[in-house]
Amino acid sequence: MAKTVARASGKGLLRLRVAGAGRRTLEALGVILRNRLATLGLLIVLATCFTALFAPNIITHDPFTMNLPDRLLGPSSEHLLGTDIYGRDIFTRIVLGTRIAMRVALGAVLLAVAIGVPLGAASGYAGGWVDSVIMRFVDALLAFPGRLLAIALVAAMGPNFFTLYLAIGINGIPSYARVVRGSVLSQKEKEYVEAARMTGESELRILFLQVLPNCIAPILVLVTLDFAHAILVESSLSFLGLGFPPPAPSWGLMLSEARGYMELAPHVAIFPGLAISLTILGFNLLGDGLRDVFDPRQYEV
Amino acid sequence: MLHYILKRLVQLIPVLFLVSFIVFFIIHLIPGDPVEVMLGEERYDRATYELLKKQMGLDDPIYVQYFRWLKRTVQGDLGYSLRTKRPVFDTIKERYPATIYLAVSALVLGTLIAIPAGTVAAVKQNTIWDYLAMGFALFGIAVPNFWLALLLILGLGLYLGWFPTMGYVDPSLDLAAFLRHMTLPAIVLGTDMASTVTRYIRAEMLEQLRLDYVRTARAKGLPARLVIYKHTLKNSLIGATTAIGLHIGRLLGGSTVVETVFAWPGVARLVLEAVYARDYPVLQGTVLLLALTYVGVNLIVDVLYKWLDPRIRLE
Repeated sequence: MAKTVARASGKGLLRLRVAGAGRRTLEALGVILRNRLATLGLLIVLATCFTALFAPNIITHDPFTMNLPDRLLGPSSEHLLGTDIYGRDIFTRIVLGTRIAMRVALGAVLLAVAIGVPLGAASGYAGGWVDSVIMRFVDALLAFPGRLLAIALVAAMGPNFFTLYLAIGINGIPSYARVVRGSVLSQKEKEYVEAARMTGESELRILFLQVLPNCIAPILVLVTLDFAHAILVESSLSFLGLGFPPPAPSWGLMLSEARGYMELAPHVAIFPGLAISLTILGFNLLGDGLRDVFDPRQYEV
Repeated sequence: MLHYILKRLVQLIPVLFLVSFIVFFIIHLIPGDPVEVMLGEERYDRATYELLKKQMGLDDPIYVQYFRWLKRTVQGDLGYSLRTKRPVFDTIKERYPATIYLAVSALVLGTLIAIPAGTVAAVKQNTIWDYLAMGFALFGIAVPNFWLALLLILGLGLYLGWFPTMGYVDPSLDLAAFLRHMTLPAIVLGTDMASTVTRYIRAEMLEQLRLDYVRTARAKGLPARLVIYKHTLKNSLIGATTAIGLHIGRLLGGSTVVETVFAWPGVARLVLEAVYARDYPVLQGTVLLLALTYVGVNLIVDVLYKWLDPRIRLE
């Protein structure tokens, strides 16, 4: 509901802009371009999801079999993106790496949403001491440097999916809590809440079935941007040797393995990095686009 | 103002407690036995092992260990490294300058890029300049630091041979060599910072340019340049203080990735070395100190923000 309204008004504004001349046309161009970028982001995100889901059907070689005579080969029809220091097919490993990156990101984002959203909702809806206690906790969490916490957690608990979800997801909790709190605060004064209360609905039902669905837009924007962040942190951790151990085809690990051979065969350091950047770019573009759509205020002059 | 600062300091107490708690307990989850680390490869008998464990207080219940550690820490005693047997505090003190040099140069570089780029992007909105600046910002956000580092090493280091690809030279020994070694890591961290701050400044500028005071200033005949640089930019920078401040906090904690790639002997790499070596006291002390720095810097930024913009009532 909120989504369609926002989109409709966005389009209306767009038409207004195009009708204008000179500077205004340029502005419209900007809006369209931004939307184009958002479309590009969506395409990248969809392609990434597709790759992650169907990775076993896409790969062309075995990701783990070492074939030393074929090491560090450049791109060819046999090896689309060449081979790495152990003669493994880089294309295959990047495709499987998508799976690892997306799974870790999904787990981390879900964890942050599952904890952050209820915290923020309770904080905003209940107010009073509940609000104070929750927000103090959130502030404390926010005060802790995130990367350091992730490194410490992974070092302590060892690299497995759950640890990575936790280490990366815990960083996201404060932003969800804060954003949801803010949205709930502005929503709970609205008439529909009063109306629902008069029909005798329980407060919990009102919060979860009436108020929260109206706070979806900012959560969706955060989720999209958070995916990019989670993928970045996962690849950083595996680059540092704190993620999944070799021979896992994690993007960060592939780059870290490439470090000593860059001069000899630059492609080993370029393709995995491209995969990471493209994915992060896709989620960021989509997130920015969603924010523009949900917040048409930006187009006002 | 004083009241506000005092209030923030009081609010800091539970945060600090939580930080110390997290640091202590996470580190004790780490598998591996510090006594074995300390005894190293040497052959030892059971009795030596038990004696050392008792001496180190590692046979006490964990909460006793926590409070003992907390008490010592508050007194400024961070203990001794299990590996080098040197005081943790001295080790950190030795490693901190490298991180600070890098942080300051990245901050300067990042600000020097972000302020003009963000201003031009906003003033010339929807022109090629705007798209260039925003393209740069997107590049900085999408490209992870460690990959940018590898690309710079490959391009400017290995192919062109302009800069050394890793290592550190003490500035008091050879300033020129120090600067040459710092260039690539500073570019990586500076780009990282500039990309987010550029977007912030652009957004703030756009917001400001719409306000009535700009129209008034222009209407009364002030030249556009003066309006932009004297009024709008100043107000936008206040808005961007938080974004810059957040980066200062992060930079002062050191970038593990950048310090690792460039073999830069800062505190962030110290954390990683301590993780690999299971050197509990060093890890604990460094993480604690870095977390405190982060909290402290954020507090200073908040206070500064309030001081710069009295309209904001943070209470």
